[in-house]
Amino acid sequence: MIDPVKILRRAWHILWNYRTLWIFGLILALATAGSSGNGGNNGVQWREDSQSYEGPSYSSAQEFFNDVGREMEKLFREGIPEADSSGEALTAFLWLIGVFVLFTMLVGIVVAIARYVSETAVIRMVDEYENTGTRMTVRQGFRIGWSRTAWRLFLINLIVNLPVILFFLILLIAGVVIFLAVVNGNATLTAVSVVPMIGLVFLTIFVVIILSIFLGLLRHFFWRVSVLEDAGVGESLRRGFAIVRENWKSVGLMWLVMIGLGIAWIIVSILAIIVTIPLVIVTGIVAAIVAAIPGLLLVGVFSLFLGGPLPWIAAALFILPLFFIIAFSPWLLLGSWQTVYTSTVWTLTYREIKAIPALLPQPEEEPVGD
Amino acid sequence: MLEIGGWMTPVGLLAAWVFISTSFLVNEVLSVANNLGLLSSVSDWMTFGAVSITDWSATLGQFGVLSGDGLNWAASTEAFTRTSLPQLTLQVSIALLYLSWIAIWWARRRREAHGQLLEG
Repeated sequence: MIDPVKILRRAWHILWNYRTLWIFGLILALATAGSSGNGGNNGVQWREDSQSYEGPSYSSAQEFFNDVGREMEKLFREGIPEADSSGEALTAFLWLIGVFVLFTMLVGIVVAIARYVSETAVIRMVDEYENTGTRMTVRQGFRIGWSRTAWRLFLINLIVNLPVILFFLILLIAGVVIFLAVVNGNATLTAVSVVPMIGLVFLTIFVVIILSIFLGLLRHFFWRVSVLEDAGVGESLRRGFAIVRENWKSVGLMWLVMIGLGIAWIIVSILAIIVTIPLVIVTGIVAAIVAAIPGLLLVGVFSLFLGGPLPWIAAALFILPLFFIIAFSPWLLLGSWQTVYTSTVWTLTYREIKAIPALLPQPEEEPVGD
Repeated sequence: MLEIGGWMTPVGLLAAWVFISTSFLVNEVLSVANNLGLLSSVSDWMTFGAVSITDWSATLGQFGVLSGDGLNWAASTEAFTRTSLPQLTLQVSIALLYLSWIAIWWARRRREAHGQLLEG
């Protein structure tokens, strides 16, 4: 069995003595902040009064869309005179939103690439530090992160998340089909059909959550086999699973301890967020000053073809991500520490598990001929 | 036996947490479906969520004990207490129990290490 406390202490030491890792942690925190939602369950439940909403019939829905179409046409023809915006300016604004969506998608792709490069870099840097004691620079880190392995990590992550993605797609399609069938009068939900359906949905969600937690645990090992042993995707999955199966006690204990640390971290980070509010106000002011120059430039450019408040709104759309990154950088740093620490713990766990067979006493060979 | 119990405590707590989260998720899905009128045929014998989430504050308002902003605050507090608080309480309880397990595990581990040191 591995010693979890020894690993946690060593990871703590590496976190504070190898600060280059923080840079990659910042990228990871930035990239995972957008993708790691909490399942959309924010604890707030939508409950109106007991009156049920009657679904619109097909003709009324069509009327509604026709109405919306007419209003939109009028809006883009006449503009908003109260806001000093002509129809042409609104059309240009709509094009600008299209450009913004495209820009966001491009940034998303760049951030995703940076995320997997950083994941690879952190794992390799920690491994190298443990092997030789060498601390790499940011440039060296990017150089070892920028490899085919980063692409493999993306593929492994996709495979690991596939059950959840498929399940929610099926659930969404089933929901839409049932909704349309009931609204069009093709099906009626009775108690006989509703109760088993609720049971089935409950059981499926329960199993999918358990499965995704288990795959999330396996992913740490799939990634490390891929990065540290330069294995392909299939090979990483096979060997990663074998490692976890053979050392399930060590892996299980480490996983349970890490969940506990995760809970403790939530409490600590809430306190840290409260404590650092004054600092965030300061960084917010700095962010406002930094974002003001490119923001005003954008307002100037957009004013060439937009009127009223539209140039300001469009400029704010483009400049707000930069503002938020600078303003909330102290909280981003907290996220960076958490991601680097977690990654380091799993890298050290992987190394310890791989070292166990070498530490075990070898059985004595029987003399030949006796 | 003690070791198995030690392992099953956090696993059981996690399973309970997943079970509770799933229950609340399914409850939300059913509430939405009911609000869309999909479950109108069964909603007369099956309750999806609370029928009224501001019973007490409404009663206090009717008797004239509360009015205006005070009544609004009471209604908001009661709605929060009835909808979000049970979920929050259950999850916080599980988190605290989990942290207790970690603390016990840590203490046991230290005691064992101390014992080994004395034997050595």
